[in-house]
Amino acid sequence: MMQLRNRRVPGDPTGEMGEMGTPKRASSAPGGEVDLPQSAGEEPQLPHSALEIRFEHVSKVYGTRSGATTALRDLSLVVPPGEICCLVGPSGGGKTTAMRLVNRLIEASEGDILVGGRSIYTIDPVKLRRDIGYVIQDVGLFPHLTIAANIAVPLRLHRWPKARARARVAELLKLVGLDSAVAARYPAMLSGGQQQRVGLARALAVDPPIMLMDEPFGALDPITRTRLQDEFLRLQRRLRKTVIFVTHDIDEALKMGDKVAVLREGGVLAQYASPAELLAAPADEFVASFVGGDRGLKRLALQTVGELCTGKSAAQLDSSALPAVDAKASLVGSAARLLRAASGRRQGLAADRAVGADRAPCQGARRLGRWARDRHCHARGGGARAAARTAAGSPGPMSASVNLILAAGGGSAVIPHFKSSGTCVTSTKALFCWSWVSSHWGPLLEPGLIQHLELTAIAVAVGFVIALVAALVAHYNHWFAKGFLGLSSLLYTIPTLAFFEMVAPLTGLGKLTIELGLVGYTLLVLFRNTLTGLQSVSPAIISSARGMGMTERQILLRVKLRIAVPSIVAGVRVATVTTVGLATVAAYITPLGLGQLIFDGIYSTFKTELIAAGGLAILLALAFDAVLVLAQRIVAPWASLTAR
Amino acid sequence: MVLIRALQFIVDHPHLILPKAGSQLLLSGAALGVALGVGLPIGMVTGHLRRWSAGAFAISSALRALPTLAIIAIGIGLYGLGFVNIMVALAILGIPPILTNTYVAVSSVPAATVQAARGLGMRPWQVLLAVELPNAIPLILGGVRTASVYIIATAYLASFAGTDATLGSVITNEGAYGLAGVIGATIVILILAFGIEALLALCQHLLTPRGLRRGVRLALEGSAA
Repeated sequence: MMQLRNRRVPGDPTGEMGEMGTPKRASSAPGGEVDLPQSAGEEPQLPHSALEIRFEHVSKVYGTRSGATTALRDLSLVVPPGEICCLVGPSGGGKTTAMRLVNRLIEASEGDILVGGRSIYTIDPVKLRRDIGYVIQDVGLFPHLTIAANIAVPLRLHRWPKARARARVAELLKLVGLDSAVAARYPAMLSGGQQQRVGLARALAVDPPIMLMDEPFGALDPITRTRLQDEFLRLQRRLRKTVIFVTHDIDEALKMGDKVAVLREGGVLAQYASPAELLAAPADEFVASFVGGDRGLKRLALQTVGELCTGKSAAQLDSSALPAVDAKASLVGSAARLLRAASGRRQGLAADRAVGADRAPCQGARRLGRWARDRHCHARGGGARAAARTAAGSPGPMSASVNLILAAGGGSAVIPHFKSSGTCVTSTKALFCWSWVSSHWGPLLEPGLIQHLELTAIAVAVGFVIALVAALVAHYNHWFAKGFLGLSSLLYTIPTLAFFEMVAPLTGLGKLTIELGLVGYTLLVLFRNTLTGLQSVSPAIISSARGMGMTERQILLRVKLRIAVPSIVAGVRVATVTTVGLATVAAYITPLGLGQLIFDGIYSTFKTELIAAGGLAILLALAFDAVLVLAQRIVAPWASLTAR
Repeated sequence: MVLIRALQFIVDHPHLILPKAGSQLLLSGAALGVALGVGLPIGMVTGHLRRWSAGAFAISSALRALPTLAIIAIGIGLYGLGFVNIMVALAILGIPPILTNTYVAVSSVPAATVQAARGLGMRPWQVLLAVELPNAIPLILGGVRTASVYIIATAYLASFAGTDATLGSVITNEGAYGLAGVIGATIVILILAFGIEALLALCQHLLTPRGLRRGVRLALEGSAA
């Protein structure tokens, strides 16, 4: 906590505050003086009356690999208690960042934020959030809870007794204008407007002194939005919360805000003023263009006739003082000019407010980066050491005997290739015998690895061709798709060996049986992935291709198949890896590939052979996996891209 | 026909089939338990943090690539024949679908929901247990279903790991039991696999919170009217 307090930038912020037309001393604002109980033992809660929010030289810098990005630069402003402060600006203006700093969903890089005169960095973030209402654009209702349970979440976090919570939920539903019948429903059953009302009720549940609202009405249709805005303003007149309201819509900001803070790209505060002031005297070009060319007209909505013509009737206005209006000027433009002239205020662009000096924000980020890197290296070193320890540990006890029933029965097909000979065999206690491996590289590679590779490659290639044709048929024939999928998923449930044994009477104990079995198993994955790839092409893409005048065949070949490539390659990857594994089992039927070495090892309980052959099979599978991951990147570079 | 002879084989040898089917289920259950114990926590933590996904997926795909028989073979060398050997091999088979599904399920809970939960002042573990997990349940159980089918269908390899208790002892011994025996055992395994899958599908339905079930709108509005 000391560290957090140290981040406060020394200096007197009040001078700057005064410049922006806010009270010189925050405590002079109504309700601003709040005595917070500072008992040592427990965390004092924010009192449930409106509190002032004060940003003091707050900056937020995000450190990225390519450098640091400033999201918010030296923001200082005061939101008086019970007022709505609208943060408005283009995307990249840092308005959401500024808002989330208040409930510490984001931590500031520099500066301090005071709520009711108390730094939020002295409060546990979780407890802080429980006393701040939070409403977001996507509402974020919990889909698995009923509406009543959703609203009760903050009450539960505050450990309200059940009966009291239930009464409060009913009260809140009424407050936000919802029928009590929705209490038992689930969020999926409500319209967007209703959901946002629930979101509002949830945020108001514990009567928090502060509300943070992040484009709360942004996702609603214009009519619902207007209605909710009006209702919220009516509520606010009664509840008097201190509200920070983020929006990108200047009209909404002017309507909702007692004060509006306009932020520009790079998170610099361009102007902080009341809506009327903002319209009458934009601080600079940026604000003027952001407020809009029709700001004169907007002012009409904010001003009353009485305000405009104080002291004199409309007839008394000196007609010569009125501006000349060009015949081509629109009515809106003329009205705006008239208004400017009549209000008698000169409209000039104030000097661009100087931006606070950079306080080397990069430094902190860089330090953090270095710390993370060091930790990472350390962790990796530790892992390696642990692995080395494990490897050095003694092997488990060797089981007494092998399952001899196997050898007596179906195992007859296995021909032991390597008579256990040489120095290694007698010492069965040895875990791994390099001399055996080095003298048997030939058989390990030739009938072993190469044959295994061959089996796998042929099976996947044949399976791929069949699956591609089948998927193309299935793409146009729903029933074929269903039937094929059903049949092949049944095949996946059949024990592999049993399947080979079932094929054997038809094709004999040869390579053909093995290949047939392997092809059968590759089919499901390859077919399913190809079909999914073809069908997941979005209708918008297809209809735009059709709009360009492509024939169905062209759409299939040039659009659908190309877009399906990542999915197909993923299928090939899984199929190949699976086939490497199945081919080991297949050696039980016909001695082929690495499988025959494994079975030979099982029958002779020769550990070195088991480990060498099993290890080679694992390496082969992992190598295939790695190669195909790489292929996936090369063939479909777009598939692994994400936004930003 | 072969199929009829296979059914005949099952009927004729209940004392062979039933205990072996039982112990195959027991072995599969143990392996599934181990796979859950490893896959669920890793998937939940990485999904919650939405970080290290590359690591979680790398573990998943590497484990999926390992040939089960090769694991058994190396296992015999390292820790010998027996129950532990086959159980390790089957658990490795079951981890990838559970881990991947859990990660995807937890990390794809809508960002707005998670952000709202944090904004309301839930602690990280509360977000995970009270918000992310209930929403992730359907997809997680989908992974468990896949894993259970893989494990039951592969448990017959126990015969090569020196445990004679599963139906694998019939399947790997065509010389003694004939093709009818092999197919009979296969049918029993199919029944076990699909039975367990159906059971898990039921669990999936029952554990899925009502608000997430398909058709919730119609059902509830019907009952309210």
